Amino acid sequence: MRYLPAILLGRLSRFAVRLIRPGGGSALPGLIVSKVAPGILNRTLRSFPKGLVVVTGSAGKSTTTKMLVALVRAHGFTVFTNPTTANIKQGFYSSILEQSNLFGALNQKIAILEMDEGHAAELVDEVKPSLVAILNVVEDQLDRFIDPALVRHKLEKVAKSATQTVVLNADDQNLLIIAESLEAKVIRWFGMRDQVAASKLGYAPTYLPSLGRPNATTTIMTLAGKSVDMAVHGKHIAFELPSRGAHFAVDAAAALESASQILGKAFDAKLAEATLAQLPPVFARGEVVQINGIDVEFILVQNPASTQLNLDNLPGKLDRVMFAIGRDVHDPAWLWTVDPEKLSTVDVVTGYNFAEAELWLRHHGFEPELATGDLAKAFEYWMALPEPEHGMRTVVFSADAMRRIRRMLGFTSPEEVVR
Amino acid sequence: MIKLGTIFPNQLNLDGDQGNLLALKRYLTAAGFQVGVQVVIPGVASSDLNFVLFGHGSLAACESIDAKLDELDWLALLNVPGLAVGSGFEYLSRNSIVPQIIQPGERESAFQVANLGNLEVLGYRNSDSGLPNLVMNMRWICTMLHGPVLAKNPTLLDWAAKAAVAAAGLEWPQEIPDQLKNWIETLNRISEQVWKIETDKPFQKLAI
Repeated sequence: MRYLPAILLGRLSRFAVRLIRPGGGSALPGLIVSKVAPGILNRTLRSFPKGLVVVTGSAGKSTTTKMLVALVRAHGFTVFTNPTTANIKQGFYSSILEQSNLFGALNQKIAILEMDEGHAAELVDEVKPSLVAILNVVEDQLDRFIDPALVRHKLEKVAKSATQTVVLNADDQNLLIIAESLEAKVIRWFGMRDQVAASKLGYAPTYLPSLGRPNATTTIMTLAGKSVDMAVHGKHIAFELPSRGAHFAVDAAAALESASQILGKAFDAKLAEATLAQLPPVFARGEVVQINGIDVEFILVQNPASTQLNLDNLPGKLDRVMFAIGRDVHDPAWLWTVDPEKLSTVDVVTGYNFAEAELWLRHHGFEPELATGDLAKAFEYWMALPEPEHGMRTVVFSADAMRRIRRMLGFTSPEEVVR
Repeated sequence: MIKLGTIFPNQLNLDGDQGNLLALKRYLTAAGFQVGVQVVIPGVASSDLNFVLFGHGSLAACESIDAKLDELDWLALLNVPGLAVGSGFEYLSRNSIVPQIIQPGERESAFQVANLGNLEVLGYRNSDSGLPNLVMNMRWICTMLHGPVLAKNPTLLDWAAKAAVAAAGLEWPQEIPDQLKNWIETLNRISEQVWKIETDKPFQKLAI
């Protein structure tokens, strides 16, 4: 009964917001619940019989979480999780509001949450996760995090809070440094067999003598296009990734290692293989949509590493590209750390930071036909351009531009993505 | 040939500061000059450089090169025009190579407009050092506005390019080549948009 007024108030506000903006409306209700019933979050996160799993790190949280949730659900567990867009504290309140009964109670067996690095470091003061999976440290959101070493310190705090297991990326030296501080914890590792490929994943350099690579219990053995072959605790798993690029294979390895830790002997490699083979991409991560009968690929970029990796993994020469950098990028200077060589052309530049993006692109020899902050105008112009001779129409965008474009096109549900 | 030098570029590019070199190279090339880029490291003569970039790095990157930076011939380097950004400026301050003193205070993370005489310069400050946004020390522009500050401020870029040309003992072309005119128009157009987005202050176009 204690949380009934807060849940009712939150749901009422959500209903009102969705009348105004279909598909939107999770942020404000979450904020209201966090103010009216702040204690509901900690109480809820402590209530799951199999505990709380936190997936964090600079990049790949959404894809890893989606894969891990699918794997655990496939093994018969009920899972409480958060949508991709809700990985900060307010989003956790929104998820509770969305999935609880009127009294704020949930009946899932386990919680698996993707968490922003900063918010995870705060939350673990109150709630101790049973398992923490940390994916990597890359140079990201420096206006907020200042320096990769400070991100590492936050993640170290999260790792130390795990009551049972910490799952780490064996190819990121930052995480090896974190592991050194975890004396008594159970640590399990995932990584790539191809160390040359692993070195190109954009992890923040530590500029320290390299620590010896630990043995990974989940290893990416081969990767060709989207076809990946993995060894998970000695069991062979092969499937097609939902999206292109070694970084998505690493996300899958993190999910498989975490799933095997959560499920123990119940982990079924064949079931895991079948589950991942059918999983659609997380929205905008290599998602292909149809707009007026025309296929368009959406590629989300969030920081220097993800931009470089996604551009490097573009499928050959592309003739029709729209590039959109939105308001979420507070200081677009990091674009200048990215080599856009693999981006064969850019027709249109848009988003709130269109001018900074155009300046960067022109210095690299690109000559976009249109540069405008008006997303609707940009998209209409771009879609009217002749069909590409090579490849598919491709939109490369930051999170804010992605949300606005998807909403503009009527893609309001993240769950609508198909493989 | 104009020689641009850059100090430990792999370590000092946290916020795209090496973009300043790209902007300078593109501008000088449009003006008809041949341009070469040389990495500045201890033990390699740097007296024939015509412009030097000292970019911004992460805490770990700076720590890893700090001792090596001490070996550079700063007297020689400061005798040619240059640009020190972020941690580059902080190094010069910490080692009393420039007179500005670090006074840690509140971190500021925002676009800011700084003045250098009559010139207004836009850039992003993310620092708690208390160092000024923009000052001249000998022939160096020292700034806490990181990233490609030259690219976003064509007048400052023009000043840096002309300083490099003079340092090379060359003459700026009396008649501006069409290629440079077009590039200046492009830079003015785009930079004006950047300014409109980030500040209420008017953008000062670079006159052709």
